Amino acid sequence: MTAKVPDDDLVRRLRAGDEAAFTEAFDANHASLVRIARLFTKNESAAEEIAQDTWVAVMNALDSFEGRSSFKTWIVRICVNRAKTRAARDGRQVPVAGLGDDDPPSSSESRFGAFGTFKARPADFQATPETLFAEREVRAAIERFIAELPDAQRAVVTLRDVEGLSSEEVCNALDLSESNQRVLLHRARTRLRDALEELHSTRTT
Amino acid sequence: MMCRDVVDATTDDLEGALKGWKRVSYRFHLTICPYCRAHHKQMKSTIATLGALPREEPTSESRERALEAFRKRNSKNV
Repeated sequence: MTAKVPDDDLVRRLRAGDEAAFTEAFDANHASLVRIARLFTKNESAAEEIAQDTWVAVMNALDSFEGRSSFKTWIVRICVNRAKTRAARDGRQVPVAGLGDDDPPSSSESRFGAFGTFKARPADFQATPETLFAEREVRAAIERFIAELPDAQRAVVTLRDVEGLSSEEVCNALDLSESNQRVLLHRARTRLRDALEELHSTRTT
Repeated sequence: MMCRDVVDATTDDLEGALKGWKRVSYRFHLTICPYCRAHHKQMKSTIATLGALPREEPTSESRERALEAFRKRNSKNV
């Protein structure tokens, strides 16, 4: 997470009405809010609205920010609460109420021999993320891999790995125990690793 | 620990949740097994890739609504 001091400065500037600070905060966080809202609704415009409502709530609550968490953590919490309230109002189920999906980890059993040892050396992922994302199709493919995960896995991996929340924050946001969170995270990462390996092998051949 | 167990424990290790003997055998296996080291590296690359996903451009409607809320707050606080 971001260091505490720059956030204090950002919030101080926001409180003072500095529009450059607004732009900074908005540009750095809006896409994250939309991504997080999408975990709670399949409706694209509803997700955008939840993110917008979050900003309105953030602006109204600016004076109550105490700097005990990072600014991002704080607004993410507001966003998650709004998304949950809205899901409850619309009578929809929140994605993670428990372990949700019970699919086994996908890490292809075929990778291992009879004694549980690797049959072949896992390949290197050559490209760095930045060069990988230079290609639009690659970026779209990775977004699709994430979108295709079961809801609970998608929620955990999005918050933890895509948005960089701490595991404690993820547990709080999704009402999960630490160990369930890790199980879901592992399943999601395993599937995404499989998908990335596939992607890398098609790119290099 | 065999490779399969090591693979299953990767997230526990990266999340700092491997303790005691399990952690020792995990670490030991990694030092002797290049295959598992390669897998471990793949998992870390996967996480790095997810963390580096480019952000979407915000819609102008969202920006305007948020800015409006910001300005409204300021006018109240003057």
